[in-house]
Order: sequence, then structure tokens, then C-alpha cells
Amino acid sequence: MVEPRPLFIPVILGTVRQGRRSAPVARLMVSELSGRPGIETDLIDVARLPLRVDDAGEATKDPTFAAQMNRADALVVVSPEYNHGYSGLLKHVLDSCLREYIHKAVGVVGVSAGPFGGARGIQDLLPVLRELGLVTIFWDVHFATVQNVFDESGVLREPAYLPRIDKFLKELVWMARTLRHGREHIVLE
Amino acid sequence: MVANASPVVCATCEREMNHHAEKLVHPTGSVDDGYLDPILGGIVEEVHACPACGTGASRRSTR
Repeated sequence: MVEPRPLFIPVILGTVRQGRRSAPVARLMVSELSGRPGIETDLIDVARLPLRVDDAGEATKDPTFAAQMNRADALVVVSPEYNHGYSGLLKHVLDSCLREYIHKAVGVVGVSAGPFGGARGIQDLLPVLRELGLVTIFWDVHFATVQNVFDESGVLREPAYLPRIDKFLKELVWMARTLRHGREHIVLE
Repeated sequence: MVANASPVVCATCEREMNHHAEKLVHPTGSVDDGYLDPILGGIVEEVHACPACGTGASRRSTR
């Protein structure tokens, strides 16, 4: 099926921590998305978003981020696990929009220094994404012991991750296409 | 309450948008009582998308 316009699937890097190991993960996801026909992507770094922290929810909405979410057909969220949860700043950013997310696909990429690849943070994030109106896919990618997965320059050392990412992105793109058709052509009755 | 009879028109390409979702939201600030649904316990936000350009829009439902 040929889409009338490219799907836009940005990658959200969900941490502001210094020395964050999730940055090469997010860049890898952007690279893997960029190589697919009919897909446009961008890296959205929550550390670079000028969101206020003296309020919350849609009161803190950043127009540029909101426009990217409005344009998006799907999201890839790269979520490191900190103390068995996702980062507070990621939640703060996600909460700044609502209607921009509705009936759009989302996939989560977990990252951890330990052996579980961010799985506990992902499980906590899923109900939040659902309440935001996003549609979660059943594939995740788990970067466990991430400090061993990339070299010092951020190049992937373990090619076994690539087929996992491929499965994840195929499902995400299918869901993005399906939901775009639904948003634009199927009336809520 | 009065039903939203008028379609939403895309601000980008002026085409009639598709009403694809309704989301219950719970605003924390002051709200016009005309939008509150006492049965559902919040405000119903209609979500629309343009079939031509994909632009999204929303408005509060009065149904």
C-alpha cells in the first residue's frame, strides 16, 4: 500500500541525565527508521524542550513539541529505567499534550544498566500511554547492560539487536498505517 | 445540552474532518458548566482528523 504522504514517526529520548546511555539507543532507532521507505523521523530530546517545571499538564505545552505530536503517526519512546521506573521528566513532557496523541501508535524501547532492559519501567509506562490515548504495540526492545551494547563512540557492538528492532518497527509501522486510516476515514458512531 | 451538529473544517486545507474519537478529560481549572457531563463525570473532548492532510483538531463536546 502506498501512503499519500510519508508516515512521521519521531523518537523521544526520555531522559535528561548527564552521561545518559539512552542517547546512542535513540540515535540507533532514528537510523533504523530513516532507512525505511515512506518514513520520516526526528529525534526529540526531552533535555532540549523548554518546558516549565513550575506547572504541569497541558499548561506547560511547548508549541514545537505539540506540533510534532500533532504531525506524528506513531512514537518511539526510549525510556531508561531509574529505580524500577521511568523518568519523571519523560512523564512531565508526555503530560503536556493529549489530543495530539489520540489513536496514534507507540512503541517503547527500554534501557538499563542491569539485566532487565528497562522492562519494569516499560510496564509502568504502558497504562500512562493508554490514558494519553496512544495505542501500544506488543513488541518492545530491551537494551540490557547497555554499557556493553555500544562502544565509546556510540556504535552498536551487538548486531543481534537489529532483527529485534526490525520486528518492533514493522509492527509499529503497521499500527501507524492502520490508525492513520482509522483517524482519517472511519467515523466514530 | 446542545449537540455539536456542525462538522469541524481543517484549518490547513478546509476539508471536512473525520470525527474519530471522544476522550473523557478531567480539567483541574474552572470550566464552563455547559461542557460538564454529569453522567460521565468530566468533559468529553471530540477528536477530529483531516482525511486529506492528516491535521488533527479537537473541541469540547456538547452532546
